[in-house]
Amino acid sequence: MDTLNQTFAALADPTRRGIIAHLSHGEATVSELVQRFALTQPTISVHLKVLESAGLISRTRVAQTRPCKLEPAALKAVDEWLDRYRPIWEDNFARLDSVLDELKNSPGEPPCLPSK
Amino acid sequence: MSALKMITAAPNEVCVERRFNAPVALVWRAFTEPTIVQRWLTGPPGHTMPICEIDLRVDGAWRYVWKMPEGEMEAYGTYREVVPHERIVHTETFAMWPDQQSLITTTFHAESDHTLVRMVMQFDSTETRDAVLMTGMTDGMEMSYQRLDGLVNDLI
Repeated sequence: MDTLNQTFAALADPTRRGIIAHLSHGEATVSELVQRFALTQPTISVHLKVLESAGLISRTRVAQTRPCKLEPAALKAVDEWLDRYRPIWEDNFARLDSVLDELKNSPGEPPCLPSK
Repeated sequence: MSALKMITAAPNEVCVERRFNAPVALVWRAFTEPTIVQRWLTGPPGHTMPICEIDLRVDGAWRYVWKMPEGEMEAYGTYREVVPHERIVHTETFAMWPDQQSLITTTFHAESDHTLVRMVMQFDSTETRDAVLMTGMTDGMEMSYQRLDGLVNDLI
């Protein structure tokens, strides 16, 4: 859960989501990202560090550059976590369907209105 | 019986929509009478709602407590607007995240003998919640780069 929180926090920033989108097309170097986002290298590096410690990207060393690459496993964890919401609501509303059917067949109940 | 629709209209919003095969007066009761709410708003299998308190008026408080094998979960808030058979606006805070408050607007739309219920959940801007919502258009499909791309493009 800690990792998941870290992932959420990492994804909460629009620049970092932009970087993720960019990397979804393939690897990129820091200087490519600096150009693409018109930000300074230190700023980009800070964002990359956050993404890296959340496990969303990884960086290798190739000669003088350290290309960044997306790590889809961390995103998949977020996705699976969010997917838990939908079935919960589907279950709730399926139960509500049966409750409503039952209420329709038990007339005479006074309507519930807010107290004044 | 109709499909559940989940959409993210704004960065900090999730909208859940569902049509019910019952008149609006009945659906309203099902959302506002504690003994009825306790029967359906129970969440995942194995959960129950032993406590359901609803003081349905502006500034009135509500409190739900769910019981599950791992323990208990509590949510609470107050009503901001109550328009019978039409609209409820309430705040929502989960006891485990006391600093986070969401605002839930539930509207009831009568459609002959059906009722469309729309719940718009607006989250405050804590990083975690924003992230949850901004990525909240999942639909059970396998995560793919294409989908991720579309998702992120929606956000930027």
